[in-house]
Amino acid sequence: MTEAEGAGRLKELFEAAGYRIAERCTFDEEGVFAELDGWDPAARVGYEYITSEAGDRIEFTATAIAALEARMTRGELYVLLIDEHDVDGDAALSAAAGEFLRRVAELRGVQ
Amino acid sequence: MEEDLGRVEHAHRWHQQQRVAVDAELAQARRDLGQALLPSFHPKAIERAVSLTGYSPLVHENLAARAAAEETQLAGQIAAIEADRRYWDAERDKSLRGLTPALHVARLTQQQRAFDDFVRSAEHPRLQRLCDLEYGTPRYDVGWWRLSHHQDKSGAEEILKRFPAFGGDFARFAAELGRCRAASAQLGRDLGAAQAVERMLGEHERLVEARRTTKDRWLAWARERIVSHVLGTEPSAMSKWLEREPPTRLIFLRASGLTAKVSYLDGLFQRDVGQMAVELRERHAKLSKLEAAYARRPRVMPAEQFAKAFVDKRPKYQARLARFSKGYQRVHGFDRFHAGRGVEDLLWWDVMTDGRLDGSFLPDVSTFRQTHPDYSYERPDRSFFKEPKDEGLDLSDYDEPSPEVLASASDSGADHAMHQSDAS
Repeated sequence: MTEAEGAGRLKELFEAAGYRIAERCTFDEEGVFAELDGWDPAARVGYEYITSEAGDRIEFTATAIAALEARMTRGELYVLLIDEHDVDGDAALSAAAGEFLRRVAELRGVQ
Repeated sequence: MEEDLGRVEHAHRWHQQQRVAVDAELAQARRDLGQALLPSFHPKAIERAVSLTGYSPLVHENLAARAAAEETQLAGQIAAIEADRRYWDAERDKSLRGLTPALHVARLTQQQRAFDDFVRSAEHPRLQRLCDLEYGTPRYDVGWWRLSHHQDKSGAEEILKRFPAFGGDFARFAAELGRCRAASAQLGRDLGAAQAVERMLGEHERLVEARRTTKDRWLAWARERIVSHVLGTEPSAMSKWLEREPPTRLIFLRASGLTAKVSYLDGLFQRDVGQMAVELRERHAKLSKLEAAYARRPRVMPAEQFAKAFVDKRPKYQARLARFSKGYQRVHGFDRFHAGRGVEDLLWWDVMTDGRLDGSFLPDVSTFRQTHPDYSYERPDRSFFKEPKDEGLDLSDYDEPSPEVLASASDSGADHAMHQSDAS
């Protein structure tokens, strides 16, 4: 599965869940500067498909990811992080996205 | 035509059945002849065989010494195996515990398979990662927003579904899996060793049997050669050579007659039935083709062509089958091989058919007639057809040579061994 195919599938799933996804959206907050594959600025929910080919590992360094994850832990934003090495098919990707969106909905409901 | 083909098939099957029986008779006759000509490797027995048959290679080949040498070699190989501790361990296990090498191998294979089955079913591409990240414990810290988190969860669920008893303790599970892998590897090594012992015992058994039958095998080999020589010699000549030993001559005549009988039966079958089968099949194919051509384009076949194509050949075929039956029964039913004593120039075909059937279609008969241009068959006197008195063949003088004779034969060659035996 290529990054384009994976990102296309995620966009469909996120929009089906009600998010308004902007593709290749610049994210520049609290020292993290990166271009997210998909991002809903209003809901602060998105996804990033990390591949070496697209140079994502330059932007998404361990430090940047740690910073993003710290904010996710605090519930300030939610980004589904997909490492290309973990993707083994459309079914697994869709299932993971579904689980992520359900969890976000739950947390948002609580908030 | 189908009827004729059916008869041909029937004759074919019948001939095959008869051949099986005659072949068995011939095989026994050859064994009897071998036994009569060469009862043992006793130097006197070899001397007698050569004198009776003219088969001189037996003198020079020193077969007794070669058999003895092979026995010695086999004994050395057996001793080498018996010097191996593993051999005695296996023998002990077999006698004390009833554990044969084959059973041991089977048990180890079964045990290894049990471990391998578990390892195979427990293998999961995510297991090592789950152990490394201590999945299921508070120390597992992969965020739920990562795809890998989801896949860890899926992997863990798959493993737990297969092995619920581990209750999510993946470190324990991985340790158990490692233990099973190690056990399987150890069993594989044990199995390799057990198989080597199994092979060793099999080899020991084979060698012991080979040593037990050394003399018999060499004797059978030598007998087969001398029998081939004797039966390959013109029967009249050999029959005369054997006049000195009437019982042996009778045994020879039986083997020689049966050899001829097999050849004649095949020849008769081939001439009358084999060729007829070929003709019938060719005709059948030709008529089928003609029939198909007229079916495609119906028209009236010219009378001349019809008469030629559909000529009734049944009388001709029946005559051939009758000729086959007559000749075959005559040859097949003949068993008075001792009558061969009463014939100067021994052509079995004439003896079997009383000179009444033409056998020139048989290569053996034709050759005989060419090489004996003055030959004409003269029926043996009636007395030769009577069952001869059983004089018995006393071979007690040719019992197995003593080990001392064998040893000296081994040291000095057959001629010397024969000389020594004569002197003693």
